[in-house]
Amino acid sequence: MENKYEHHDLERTDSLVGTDKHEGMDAIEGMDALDKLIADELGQQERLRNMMQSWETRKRAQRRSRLIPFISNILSVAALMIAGLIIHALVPKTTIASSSAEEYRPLIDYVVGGHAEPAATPVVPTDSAEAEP
Amino acid sequence: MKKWNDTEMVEAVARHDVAMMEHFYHDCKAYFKSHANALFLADSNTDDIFQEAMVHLWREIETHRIEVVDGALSRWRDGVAQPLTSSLYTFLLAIAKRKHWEQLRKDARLRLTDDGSLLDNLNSERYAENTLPDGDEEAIREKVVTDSVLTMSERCRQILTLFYYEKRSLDEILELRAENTSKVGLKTSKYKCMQRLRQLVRERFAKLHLSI
Repeated sequence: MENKYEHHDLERTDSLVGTDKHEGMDAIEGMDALDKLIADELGQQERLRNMMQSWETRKRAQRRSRLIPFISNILSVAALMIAGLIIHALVPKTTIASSSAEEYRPLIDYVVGGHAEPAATPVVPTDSAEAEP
Repeated sequence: MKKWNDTEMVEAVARHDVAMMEHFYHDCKAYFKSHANALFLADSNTDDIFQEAMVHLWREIETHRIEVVDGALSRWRDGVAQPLTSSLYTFLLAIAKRKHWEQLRKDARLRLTDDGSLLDNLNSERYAENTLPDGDEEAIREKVVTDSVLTMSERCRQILTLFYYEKRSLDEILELRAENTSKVGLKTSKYKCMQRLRQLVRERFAKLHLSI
């Protein structure tokens, strides 16, 4: 005799486990409606969980999208500052203190006030033996 | 800053306004996190507790156990709509605390003395009966099933959802769940979970004289 339950999805028909065939049949008819209610409720709750999960994912993505431009701005500013420091270190510096103050004495005196115009070019001290004829 | 009131939010959830629900979800999460340290043990998985509490709250609203009655936010108890005396935030925290205590009791990390009042508060079956609304038999049946599914352990809920709702095979579920190491063990777990759930639902139906 053909097994009545051969074509049932036996995995999904727990009622048949360990029960008499007739009891199992009644159980199937009674439990199908209940199983459906249970499956529907499981589905409703799963829908809510999936929704919350998608909201969490979207919020994390929004946070990342705000964070990346912020971090790249900070890195750009830092890079510019480092480049400026490097350039500042490499470029040779010249100040009045590094030259002979005497070369510019007449100019300083003129600017400070009340002295004869200096020569067009600063007076460069020369060897006195060479200067004398 | 909160831009909605509790009544508006309950109406939005009831009509499945997803944008409002998302807004409400993030607001609730911020409120929950600010109070979690004071309410739960340090090693508790507060994200899971929060999610379970939100699902519970939303199902209460979707099944009209919490609804707006005559302009006031109310909750059905023993067939009577009683005005809700706390905010939705506070109600959510109360659900979360109860779920946390139930989990601790199951884990046997906390031994409770036989204090009737404490156990009454934790007795989810009594909780479910007290909150059944007045309504047609179909609606009440649905609410009994909702409550019963919400009392399941996380393990049972996952297995039964994968099998009965997502229609996955046992082999697929084995791949998804590292905790289950054998197909026979998984099948036994699934059977036991479903049997317990069916029994719980049938008992509640019988108490309320409902047919399946």
